[in-house]
Amino acid sequence: MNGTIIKVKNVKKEYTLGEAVINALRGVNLEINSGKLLAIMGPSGSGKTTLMHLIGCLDIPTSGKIYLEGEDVSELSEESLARIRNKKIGFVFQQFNLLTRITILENVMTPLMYAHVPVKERKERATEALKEVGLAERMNHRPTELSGGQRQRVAIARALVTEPSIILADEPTGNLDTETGSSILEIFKKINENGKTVVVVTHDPEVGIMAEEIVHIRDGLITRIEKK
Amino acid sequence: MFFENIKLSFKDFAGNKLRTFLSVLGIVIGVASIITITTLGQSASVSIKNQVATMGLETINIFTRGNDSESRRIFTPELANKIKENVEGVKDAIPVNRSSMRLQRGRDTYQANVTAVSASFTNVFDYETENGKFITDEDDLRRKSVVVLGAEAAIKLFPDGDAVGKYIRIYRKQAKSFRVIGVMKTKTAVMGMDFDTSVYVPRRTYDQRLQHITRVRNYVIGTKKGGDVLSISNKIEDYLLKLTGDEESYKVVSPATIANIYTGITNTLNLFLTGIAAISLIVGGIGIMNIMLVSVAERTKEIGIRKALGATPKVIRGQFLVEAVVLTLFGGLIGIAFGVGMSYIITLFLKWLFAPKFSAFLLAVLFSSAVGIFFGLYPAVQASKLQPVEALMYE
Repeated sequence: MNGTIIKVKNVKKEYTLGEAVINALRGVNLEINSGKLLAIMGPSGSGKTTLMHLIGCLDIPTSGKIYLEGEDVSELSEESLARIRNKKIGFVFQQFNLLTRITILENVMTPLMYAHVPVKERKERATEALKEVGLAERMNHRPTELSGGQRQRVAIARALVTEPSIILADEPTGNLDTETGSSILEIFKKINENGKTVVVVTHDPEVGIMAEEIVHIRDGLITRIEKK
Repeated sequence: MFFENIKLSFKDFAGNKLRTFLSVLGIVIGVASIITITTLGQSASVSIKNQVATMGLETINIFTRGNDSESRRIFTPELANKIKENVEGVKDAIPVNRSSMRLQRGRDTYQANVTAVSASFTNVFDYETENGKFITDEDDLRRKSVVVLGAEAAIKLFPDGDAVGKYIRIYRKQAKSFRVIGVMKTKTAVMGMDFDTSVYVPRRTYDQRLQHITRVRNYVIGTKKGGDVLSISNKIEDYLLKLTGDEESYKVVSPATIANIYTGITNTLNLFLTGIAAISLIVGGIGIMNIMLVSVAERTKEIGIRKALGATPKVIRGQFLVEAVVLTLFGGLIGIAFGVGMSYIITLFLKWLFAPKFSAFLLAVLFSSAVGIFFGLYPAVQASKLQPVEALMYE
């Protein structure tokens, strides 16, 4: 699978905070090829997380276009965006963002529920996904009973279970110690080797070392694209 | 997804037991009071109807008034036959006169209502003989000096039993001898008719030997099985009004009329009380809305995560709506249990029949679900409208 999977065309994003208008993104152009492992790096407030949210269909740009697998997602309704998030994108967050009241198996099953997959198949696929991140034997535990690294692995299993083409990770190692962080990055690398496009928003220089491409962003603009 | 939502609701409630309990309390109290009121109302109606039924629901009484020549001309024994012939649904019509007289047997005396009747009297009231037989048409036509004793009269005059065939004296100016031909079984008094303390003699005998009947005081009407007693009694009223032209000269009374008045009163009272209880349900609903709004605010992050995973606004709305309905339905069911328990205990104390009204249960379930939907909708819509990014960033 080659060619452009994510295309960002002259995207601007403005927020109003009280009376102040914040220009989070001020005209970003970016093309990401399918199967890439890409890092977006920049200081905090640079707009990298905003860019990730837009690519992840969690928000829509103020102006400009975003295409995912050729489909314009910049002006879709909330319902359609939800479906694209469910089908095409797997998220991994710094805060893990697991649902604490349910077991990790149920956490991993949740996106499949929104995809209307039958219960039995949901369970099978979620169990399989947990097996892949090495947590099959803990699947009936609550997230609060797990360590940070384990939680992040659950989050990765949850992101992978719907078999999306794009994995978006926002500071996935930010809340982990170096060693655990490295092991999480190893998983991302494996995911990428299996053909998925992985975009990691990060401060972590280790991610930069691993990535095939590094997009540097500052003050809402891409300053440099580093290709290896 | 529906079942997952229900499961999820229970998980949420289990995690917040006290809060869940307090928030459904309003619904529980509202439903419990509605169920108690309707069940008690129903029990009251059934008890009244049962009491009336033991008196004989099919009976209608006509009481006559006035002592002028006009009323004497109209309220004759023959009027009974005319009523029977002219009013549809009337099976028996019996002229009844009675008077308190002194009875004597040996040294025992007893003050009793001596009642002038005809043979069909027992049919109308479902009145059964214990010993011997009741008055026959022949006894009446031949003006025989025979008497049938009510249960209590028999005990007073014949403490040793065995009254049939013996003689008693009835004093009316002078003592007259009557042969006892039967003793009746005991029967509860109905509408001024005290069966047990009465004795019965043929009407013509009464007229000739005891007291001349100038005006029939009371007609007892037996209606045909399955007939509408109320409409028959209305027809009788119409007939009598046409005949007398004076609605003050008679009064038509049936147990059914009395029952209907009672039922009418209980129904109105029920409706009124249920209305008040329904207000408490609305108050309960506001409590639910409040707690759901808190729940939405508390779970903003969760909503953000769910949206990131692909939950559409519709799905989120559904989740919170299901939660509100599960909450109110849960409250409704507890309320029904409480209401049934409470009304059962009350009926036990009042010695009423316990008559739960299942349609009220159904209504309570539907109503509490409706309260859940109505008051859960706004919080659910609020939840569904949350922006995914803002919800995710919420701490």
